[in-house]
Amino acid sequence: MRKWVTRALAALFCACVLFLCGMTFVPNLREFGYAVFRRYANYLPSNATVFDNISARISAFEDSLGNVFYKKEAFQQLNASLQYAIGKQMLYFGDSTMVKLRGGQLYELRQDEVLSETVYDLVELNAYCESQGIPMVFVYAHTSLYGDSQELLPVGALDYNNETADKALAILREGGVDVLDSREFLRDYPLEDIIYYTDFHWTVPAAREAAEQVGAWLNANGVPADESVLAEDMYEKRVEENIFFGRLGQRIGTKNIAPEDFALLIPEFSSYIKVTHREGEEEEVREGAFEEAVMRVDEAMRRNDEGYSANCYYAYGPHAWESEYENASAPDSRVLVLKDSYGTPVAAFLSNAVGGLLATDQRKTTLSAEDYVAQYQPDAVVVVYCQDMLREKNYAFMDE
Amino acid sequence: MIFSSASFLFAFLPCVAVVYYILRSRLARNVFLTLVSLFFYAWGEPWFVLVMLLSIVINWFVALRIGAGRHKKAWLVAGLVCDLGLLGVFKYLGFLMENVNWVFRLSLPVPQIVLPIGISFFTFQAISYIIDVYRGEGRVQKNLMNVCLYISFFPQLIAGPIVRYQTFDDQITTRRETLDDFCEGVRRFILGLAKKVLLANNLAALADTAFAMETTELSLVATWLAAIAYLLQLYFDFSGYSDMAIGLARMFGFHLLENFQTPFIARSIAGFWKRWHISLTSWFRDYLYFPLGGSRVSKGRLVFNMGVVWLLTGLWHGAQWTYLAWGGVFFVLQVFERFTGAGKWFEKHWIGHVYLCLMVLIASVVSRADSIPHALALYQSMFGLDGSAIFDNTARMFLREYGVFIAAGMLCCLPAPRRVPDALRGVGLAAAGFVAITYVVMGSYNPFIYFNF
Repeated sequence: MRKWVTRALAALFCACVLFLCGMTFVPNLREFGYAVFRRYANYLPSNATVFDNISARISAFEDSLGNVFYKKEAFQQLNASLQYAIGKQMLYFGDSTMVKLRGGQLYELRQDEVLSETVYDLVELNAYCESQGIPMVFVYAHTSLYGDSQELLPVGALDYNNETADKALAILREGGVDVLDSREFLRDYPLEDIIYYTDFHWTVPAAREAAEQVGAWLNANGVPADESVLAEDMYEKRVEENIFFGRLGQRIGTKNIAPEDFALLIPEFSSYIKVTHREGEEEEVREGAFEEAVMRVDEAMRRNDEGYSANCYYAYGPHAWESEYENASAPDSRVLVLKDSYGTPVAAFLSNAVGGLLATDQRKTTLSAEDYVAQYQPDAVVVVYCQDMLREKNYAFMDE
Repeated sequence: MIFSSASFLFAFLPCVAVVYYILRSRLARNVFLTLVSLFFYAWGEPWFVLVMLLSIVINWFVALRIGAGRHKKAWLVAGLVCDLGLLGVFKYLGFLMENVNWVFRLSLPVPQIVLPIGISFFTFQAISYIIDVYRGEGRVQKNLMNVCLYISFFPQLIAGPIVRYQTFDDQITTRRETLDDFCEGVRRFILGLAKKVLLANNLAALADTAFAMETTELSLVATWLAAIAYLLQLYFDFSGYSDMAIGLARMFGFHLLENFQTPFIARSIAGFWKRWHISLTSWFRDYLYFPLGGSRVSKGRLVFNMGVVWLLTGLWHGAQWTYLAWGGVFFVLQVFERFTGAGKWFEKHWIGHVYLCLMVLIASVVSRADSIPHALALYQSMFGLDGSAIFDNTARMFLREYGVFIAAGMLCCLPAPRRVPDALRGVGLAAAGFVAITYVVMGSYNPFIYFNF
């Protein structure tokens, strides 16, 4: 009996492995080939040796495998369901741990206080801007834990999000950098208005508030900005129900958390903006009212076959290398915004208030921030980053 | 590449298995296994495969010279110097320089040398080969490729079991791959995968969290849970890997010796070490303890022999004072059991189980700690000597999140009950294997602990 059970088990295992192997590799041979023969160059260090070359190809292959694995999302979601089934509140994903906050929002724990040199690079950038007579502000976009961590997190969960934020902002302030801390200017908002249930980004209303804070800071620092167009009552709030399913939600599936409402803010004032998005050599130009030129409602709010959209956060534009906004009806000032994905809607709202705005994503661009300041000659520099940007060092700020 | 990764499970293994069984001749299969084993090792860090090849060529040549019959001892010494020198440079040089600086208050440069994965394992394997040839207990292998296959064979290359050449030699040329062996190998592999991914990885999350915290933040219960989790993690990580290694080898017709035999049912430390990492303890017994005289010496000499073996066993696990201390703990316990008769007494009484588990648990703490002071602080926390609470929210969280894994882990330390029908075992294993695959696909960096050795 044992022999036949063993044979059946082996047959089942081999069939499963071969099936997954075939379904993963056969449709994606080109992707793997591209990774091993072209994209591997992104993994090469400077002065790469033959061994670095081999390691880079292996890394590219493994990343591709992770990205295209057959039904990966289904496996993730099944795993999450199993973890919930045994009573876990902290879902362990190997490289991260996810919990639900007391209000039901998904959140990835920050399990250490490690910061990278990026914080000090920002201090250096500020010093450079000062030497050029250009005021600079750092807008800190906190992730999810607005309030007492102990009240928000499951009992016993260890998290160092707030401690790390305090540490980073202390370094920036000591270095003379102006800081706008979202934990302060969003303090009075209900949590469900400023963070998503299924995603780690802040909401559109939170981004608008951040833009309003920046507008006030610009005027306080002698850079003309039309603050009035950033006020809450200048926008119509349009809520699309049960549509947004963010990245954190996708990890655990709709069986464990439902798609949520997504709020758009549409200007109630007239505007005319020209926006140019650049991705490497490609360029896209749009002109018109804010809703037509800057926003991408149709694409972002298009529901998929399962009835939700995973792209809602592109409603205020793509996360491009560079996005340049020109607004002839706003005060004639030029603002350089260094941003991550949190900063995309902030830059979009700000474009209503200033004549010229260039938003760059330093993770993607080939120019350093210093180069951008030198070339764009802004009247002010605004950095909008979440904490993750301060934990990693793969951005070019100062020329090294 | 690790066995519980998507790259291995869904790319490397299927391709290797399919091509292996397409090839018909023994020579072709052996050559193929050798090449894929080198590829497997190079996947992790390409240039280290040159280090391993150097070790293989040196040992092959030394064994040939020993087999030629002239200056056998000199050649053996030369081989040992090369093997231990390689291990010493890569693994112990930094530790040595740090301690020289500390003792003599110097500022000599401390080399930052990256440790080739599995170097302790393949070096010990190579040493056992040349010593066996010297003793006449093993045949000289003139074929370099066969020696290469023996040392680099991918199932046991990275984390053992340490295979003696005598057990491998005949299997290189005369093994028969059968359907039953293949299926048993798959079954064993699934068992190891489940142990590693379902138990070891999840328990590691608790242990890593707890050991990274300040000891003053840990309540008494939380510290004990962390210690238990770490010991279970260590066991399932290592025994799981051994299961996978044995299973993989069997899929290709090789039969490797067992490395773990339910060690936690032992009732004494001596009994424990006959069941835990058997290939390592038998290696130290045969190549160090017996040549030193074993137990057929005076009491003083016996204590010395045991001390050397256990301190070196600790040092083999890592170039840190904590590992030396860990080896020292087992040395003290072994001396206690042997010279007081306690070992024999515990073997006859059920309380021996409690004694054994407690001692191994306490010893494991020092091996996991960052330093000796950290270990001492953890012990203070475990025994309530630092004023911490007995129970707190952290302990509550540990129980909530990991209680199932701790309970399952403790249960799986026991021998499988014989009355469970085979069909039920099969279904259970299939379910565990499937859940393990969901974890693997979910994608994580989950290296084996013993890779560091």
